[in-house]
Amino acid sequence: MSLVELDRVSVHFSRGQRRTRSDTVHALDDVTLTINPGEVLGIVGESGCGKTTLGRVIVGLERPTSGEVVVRGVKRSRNQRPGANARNDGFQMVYQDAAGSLNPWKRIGWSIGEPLQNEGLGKAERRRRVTELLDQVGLPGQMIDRYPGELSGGQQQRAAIARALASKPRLIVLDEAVSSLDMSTQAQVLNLLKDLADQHPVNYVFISHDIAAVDFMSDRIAVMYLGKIVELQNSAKDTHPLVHPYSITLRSAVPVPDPAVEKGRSRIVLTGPVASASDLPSGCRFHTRCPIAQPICSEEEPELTEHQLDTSVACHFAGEFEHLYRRSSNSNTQP
Amino acid sequence: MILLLGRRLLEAVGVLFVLSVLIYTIGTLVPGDIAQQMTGIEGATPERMAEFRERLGLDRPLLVRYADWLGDAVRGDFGVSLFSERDIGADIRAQFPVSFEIAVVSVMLAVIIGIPLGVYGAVHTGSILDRLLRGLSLIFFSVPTFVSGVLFVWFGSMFLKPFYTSYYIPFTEDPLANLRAISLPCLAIALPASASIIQMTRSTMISSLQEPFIDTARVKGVRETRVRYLHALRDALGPVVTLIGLMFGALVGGLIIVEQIFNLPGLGRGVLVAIGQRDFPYVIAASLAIATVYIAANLVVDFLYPILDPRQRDQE
Repeated sequence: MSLVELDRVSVHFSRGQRRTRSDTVHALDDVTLTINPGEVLGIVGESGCGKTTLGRVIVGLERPTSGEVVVRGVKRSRNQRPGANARNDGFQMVYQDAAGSLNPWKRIGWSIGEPLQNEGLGKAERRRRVTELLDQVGLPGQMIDRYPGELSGGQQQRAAIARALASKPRLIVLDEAVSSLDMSTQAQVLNLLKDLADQHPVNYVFISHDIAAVDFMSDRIAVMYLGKIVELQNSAKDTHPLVHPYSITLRSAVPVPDPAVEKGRSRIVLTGPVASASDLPSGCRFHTRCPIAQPICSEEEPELTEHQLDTSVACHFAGEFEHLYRRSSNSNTQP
Repeated sequence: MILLLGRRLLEAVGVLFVLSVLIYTIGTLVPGDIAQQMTGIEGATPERMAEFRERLGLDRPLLVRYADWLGDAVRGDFGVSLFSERDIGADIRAQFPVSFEIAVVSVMLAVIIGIPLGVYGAVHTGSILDRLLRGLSLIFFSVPTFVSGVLFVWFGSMFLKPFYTSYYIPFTEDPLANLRAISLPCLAIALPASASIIQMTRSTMISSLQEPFIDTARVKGVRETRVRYLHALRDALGPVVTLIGLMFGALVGGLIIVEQIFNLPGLGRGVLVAIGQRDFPYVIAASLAIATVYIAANLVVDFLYPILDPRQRDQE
């Protein structure tokens, strides 16, 4: 049985008093997604594309405007307090802002140990478990009596991960969990997360704008643009290249470590206006910036359909990027 | 910590000194003096007034008089009242506890009323009760004490007759009678004060509830009441504590009016009477007593911060 199923989930936020159409922000639109036990799902996209909202819907901090969330075969009730289901579902979240996610007034040990109170553990037993968790995330035991402000950014993120692990979750949503860390610390924390996944029966949903980090972490990748999933890769990352023009562009922005290759590589730079989530463009949401947009793209919205084995894409011209891109860049240079 | 305390105490002494200079000088600038007041009763002639001033030492230069006063004051002798010729120190020692009790009880009342209602407003933003609370607190905040105080006296003597008494009896003599006498004056001071505590708690609490660690606590499976009071209110309390500290000082103005209206033998009424009589030795002594309380309240708040906020504690 799948761990979580999202069935045509939409989240719309309305601003202001008048609920006119342009006041509604489409954070998520018709997202259908399955998370299977034992896999890491990566979600990638630029800021404002709805990644965080998707993570919050999965954990239960956000209620879908429409659509269903099914957790291990059971539909989630629509009228509950935000976050109230997380404990029973065994879902946790780690935020980009690790410092903010730890109560600044409480010692690290207290914050990590708070969920253990629910299990009815005594004080000494809780302290022993917290020390264990700190050890697992690579923090020295004396950090237990520190306040969040006394830790470095990397240490705070490790503490936040220990906190998430404390309640033995089935699923942890890592929302830009390493984005605020510098590169060397990022690598350490990513490796730590991988090691932890080997030790614990835990799934990750890894949300990031950094496609390289998502590639490194994930078994499956969902690419999001303006509240929609535009591409879903269901297999290991290296077997298939990404197909959607937006995905190709994202990946082309990652520098290649080999300078010789990097020099000869061309980078696709997007032009055109970034569409707003409160004033969606007609047709395909990406057509305003798409390097290979054709007349049909502004008229008809493509559905997410299976393009080849293990790859679903929402694009009218899936698989034709190379061909169309060469043609359009040629026509641009020779008017 | 000790060093900081010492520095703060030294600063407080400095403030009191500057204050005494200011009040002393302002006192001489005010038109009319005690001689006019005293002789006015018996028929004033310039000769009689001059004779009177000479007797009280008022004909000496300002600097000499001030130095003379300061010398006595640091030894705890504030002289005798020019009007009643009673010992000022003893009078203030008798009046001070009355005002202090009213101030403390009022602030406590304001906190007890204000904080839970502020939390309610933040949690149920936009609900009918929240809007009602905001409207009411605006009204309570806007009505001056001399209006609400009179209304309270009227209400107390018309409808709460068996309960309310207007004779002040010290707490140590009869606690119940004491509470009966100070209940309404304290309420008159506490209501506008609680209005601002409601507003402050509400707004800081709203932003605290949006902190990521609140979501984290919910996801941890923490009960909602615990999320609100242990996680969010704790975070929101800082500015509220500052406000309460300031309030304690600002109460003095309210005390003068309320003690007058409710006929309470406190410091506020004492000052008011003394100003009318141009009895400056008394006014100075009482002002310094009030300033001391104000400074002490702010000192307490300053030292509460590190206890409330681990981030402000000294690093080892």
